[in-house]
Amino acid sequence: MKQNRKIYFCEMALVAIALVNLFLISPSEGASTKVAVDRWTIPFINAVTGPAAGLGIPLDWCQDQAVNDINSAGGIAGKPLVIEKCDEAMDPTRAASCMKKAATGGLVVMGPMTSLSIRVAQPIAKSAEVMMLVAYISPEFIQDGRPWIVSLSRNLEYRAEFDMSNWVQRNPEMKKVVIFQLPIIAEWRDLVKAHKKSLEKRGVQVLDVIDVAQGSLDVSSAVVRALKLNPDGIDTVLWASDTVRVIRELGNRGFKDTKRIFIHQSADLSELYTMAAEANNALDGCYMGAFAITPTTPVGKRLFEGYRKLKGQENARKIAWAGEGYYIATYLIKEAIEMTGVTGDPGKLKQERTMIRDYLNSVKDYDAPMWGRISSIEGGGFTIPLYFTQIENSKPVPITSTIQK
Amino acid sequence: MEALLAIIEAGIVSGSIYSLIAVGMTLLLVVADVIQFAYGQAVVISIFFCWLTLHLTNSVVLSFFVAAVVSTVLQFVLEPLLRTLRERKLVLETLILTIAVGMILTEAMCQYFNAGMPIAFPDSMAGGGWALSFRLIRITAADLYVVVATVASLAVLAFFLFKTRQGKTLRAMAYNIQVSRLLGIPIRKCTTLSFVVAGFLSALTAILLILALGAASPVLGENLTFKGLAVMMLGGMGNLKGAVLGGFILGLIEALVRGYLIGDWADAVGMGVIMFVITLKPAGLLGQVKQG
Amino acid sequence: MFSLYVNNLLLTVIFFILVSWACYLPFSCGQLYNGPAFCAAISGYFAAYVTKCFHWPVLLGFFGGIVLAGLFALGLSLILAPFTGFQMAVATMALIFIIQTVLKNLDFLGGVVGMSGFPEIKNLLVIGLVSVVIVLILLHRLHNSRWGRAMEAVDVDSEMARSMGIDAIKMSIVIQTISGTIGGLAGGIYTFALGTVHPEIFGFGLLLYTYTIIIVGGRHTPWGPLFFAPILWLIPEFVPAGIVKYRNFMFGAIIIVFLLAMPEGVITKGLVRRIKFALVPKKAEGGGWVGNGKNT
Repeated sequence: MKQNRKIYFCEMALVAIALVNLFLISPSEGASTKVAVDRWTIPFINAVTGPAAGLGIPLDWCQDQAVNDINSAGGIAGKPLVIEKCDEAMDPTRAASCMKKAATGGLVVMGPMTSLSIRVAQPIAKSAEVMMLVAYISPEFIQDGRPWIVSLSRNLEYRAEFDMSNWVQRNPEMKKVVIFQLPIIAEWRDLVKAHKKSLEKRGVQVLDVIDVAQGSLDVSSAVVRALKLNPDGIDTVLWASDTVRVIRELGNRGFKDTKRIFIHQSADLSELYTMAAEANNALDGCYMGAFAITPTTPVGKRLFEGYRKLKGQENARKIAWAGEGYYIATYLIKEAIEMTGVTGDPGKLKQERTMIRDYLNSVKDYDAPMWGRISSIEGGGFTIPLYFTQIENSKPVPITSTIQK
Repeated sequence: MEALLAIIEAGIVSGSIYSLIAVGMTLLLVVADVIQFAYGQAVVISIFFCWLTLHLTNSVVLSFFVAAVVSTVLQFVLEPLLRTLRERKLVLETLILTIAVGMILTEAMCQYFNAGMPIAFPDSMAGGGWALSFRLIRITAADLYVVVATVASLAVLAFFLFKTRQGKTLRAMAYNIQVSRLLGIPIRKCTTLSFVVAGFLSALTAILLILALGAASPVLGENLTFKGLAVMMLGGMGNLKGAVLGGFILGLIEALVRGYLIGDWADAVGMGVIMFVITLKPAGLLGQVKQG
Repeated sequence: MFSLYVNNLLLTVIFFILVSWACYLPFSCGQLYNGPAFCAAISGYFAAYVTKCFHWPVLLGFFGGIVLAGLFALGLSLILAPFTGFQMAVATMALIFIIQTVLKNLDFLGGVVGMSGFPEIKNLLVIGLVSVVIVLILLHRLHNSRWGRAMEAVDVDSEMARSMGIDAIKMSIVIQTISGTIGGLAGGIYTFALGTVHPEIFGFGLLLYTYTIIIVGGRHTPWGPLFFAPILWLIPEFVPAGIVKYRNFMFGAIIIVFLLAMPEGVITKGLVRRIKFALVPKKAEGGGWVGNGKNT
């Protein structure tokens, strides 16, 4: 019928309008990308909202300080540095969108910050052939994106060997250990496997690996499960707040020798110490791996003090864990641009991206602010400093480190 | 054997927390015909306010008082939002509104309290004061308070709702608001009252959580809400006894999985068991009192 | 044709349109069914796995994933069909959680790391656009058919609808299967758009966007998600960073405001009818046309 045909054509017209809508609202190409003629524009993907914002915000501040410091010292090859920020919000959809935006014109990309977003972004960077510089994720987890990604981090195996050898050396009678792990983070699960390998190499038996979910209502069941095996050592690869709860519960149920407890680096956050202090210094005596200690370098002190004035003593420590890496990453990019002599000319983008990639994959003895000399290692990692500490009065006190004297 | 008893004790305590949450949500369903997807988040944000007050004033009494006030005020403030949709019988929209409120509360906790990091209370507040220990078994005062409070709240609410005139009035209103209006029941006053009662229960839950856990995180609220809903389904929608029974069952299942199987599966196994039970018996273990 | 960024934006918008449609369909007969989220995961994982590890032709893997998602939704619907609105909401949320846990613990599917390195689909954008057109026509036809009216009746009063002879259980099974299949289609497109699949991608975060799109756009017609998915996704891309951090607050507030003030959403049935009427005026009795003042 004629009427039905008219309705049908109207429907099709509406469909066409809708599809045109899809095209019309797509932005013009290059609208969001600045042309780097008189400045270096580097994309930076960070999580300033969502569950990771607690670390993303100090990281963002620290990175701003790096930009200010670089620009007040003359910029990069005489031109100012401008950071183009994008919020990944620990959401893989957003991370992919940020990465694709960054890959449109960026010479090199910093971030994403969270490990999930890094995994989502890697194949995109590799396909677009743009270099990613990240921090805090082990090289084992960036192989999918190689050689278009490097991480300011050590291999898991190296970290495990350093931590476990120091722990076992100080507890020679310890022969049976239980490990508590956070199951949701792949990197930490692999760290547990590396810890297990290192311990077994030293004649220490791992009796069980017990899951403790983040923010779990009940840690008692997991603690009872551990204690019924009569271990003489406990290794915790957990989030900071859960580490304190587990160690308190262990103490409540009879496991009081804190020297026989090891806490891994990623628990090195301010709330670990705040909660420990609230719990009558329940963690004193525990050994702990750390990425950084209370800053001793002038730059480190300045950052620590600056953030302390802004956000208080408790939050200042986040600079050490979350901020330093990307402060240094910013400087490393400056170094890469200056050492390779790239011009930022959009016409030579592909060629210059390759030059940056090659430089970042073969760094030798770069004198990083706060960290001393670092070099690239095979697999995309760097020789970043690691510390072995012991907790005293709910603060980490360094005992030894990987820094070559 | 003692390990099993210790694990069962842990399961009963966490089960009591689930039951308390489910009882609060059941109360709102029975008297206000509302399924509150933001209940857990409201409880946890009042814990965060308690922590903030403690840090600013160092007063335990004042901080508990603030937790109670925040809890009650939150439920009170939500009531007029939900009333509009209820009167138009928009069930799905009510669910989604409370989901949206829950998301706003979680985001507020992520952004404005302790920079989104978990919070902890001093040792003196957590645990409740004393503890009985026998090798691996340990029962704190807080554990006892939580279990006793769960059973007591069930008894008190059941008595109030089913044996007192006021309670019957509230239930009648939830069942048929038009007829209740014709009978001269002051609808607005009674609905507000029912939300305030839910607020008090939520305040009690917040305080008990502080004593039992000594810590909280922004995602705890969503977790508790979700478990509370699942427990309600397991026990039977609108069934107070079912809410308590369901809570204990879920707590025990999770503790046993954590104690003897792969801990990461505890939540999934708990949910799986609930799904299995309601597939066989959609009305829940003790039967439905209210349609969801 | 487009830059990587624009291509990705369009594919993401297509993904949200399809997922919103997948959720809109059961919503329009009174069910809060979150199946599209896990159906998208099943489809994406299947396609990634068979194309990477068994070297299936990429389009076969893509369509295979959609079929599998549909079959899964069908099987599940046989259990979920009798559930009430609330039970359906909680049960499907629980299933999202259970399926994520299963995926995180299956090492051959990449575990918590997920999978990448599977082949690309060329012209994915074209497939995406064609999918949008086909699904829109399907939904439009469904909406204007006897089924569509039956769905509306169930939404308004399911008891009365049953007493009038509408088989709500059968309807629920069909709706859930279609919804799951559309979810699978969305998942397949998005997996190949990203080039990676991970258990967290198709999770609870998706629900906030989807509900906002449906509530704001309109829950009773398919036009709402079509117009509002692009708008609601793209706005945060172009607002200043200082405002973006309030994104989740804003989405929550938008949902609340619309639910209270405009629970039908922007594009209501009435609006669609008025537009249709304005475009296609009806003939009056006696042969004249109404609507343009030319009565005879």
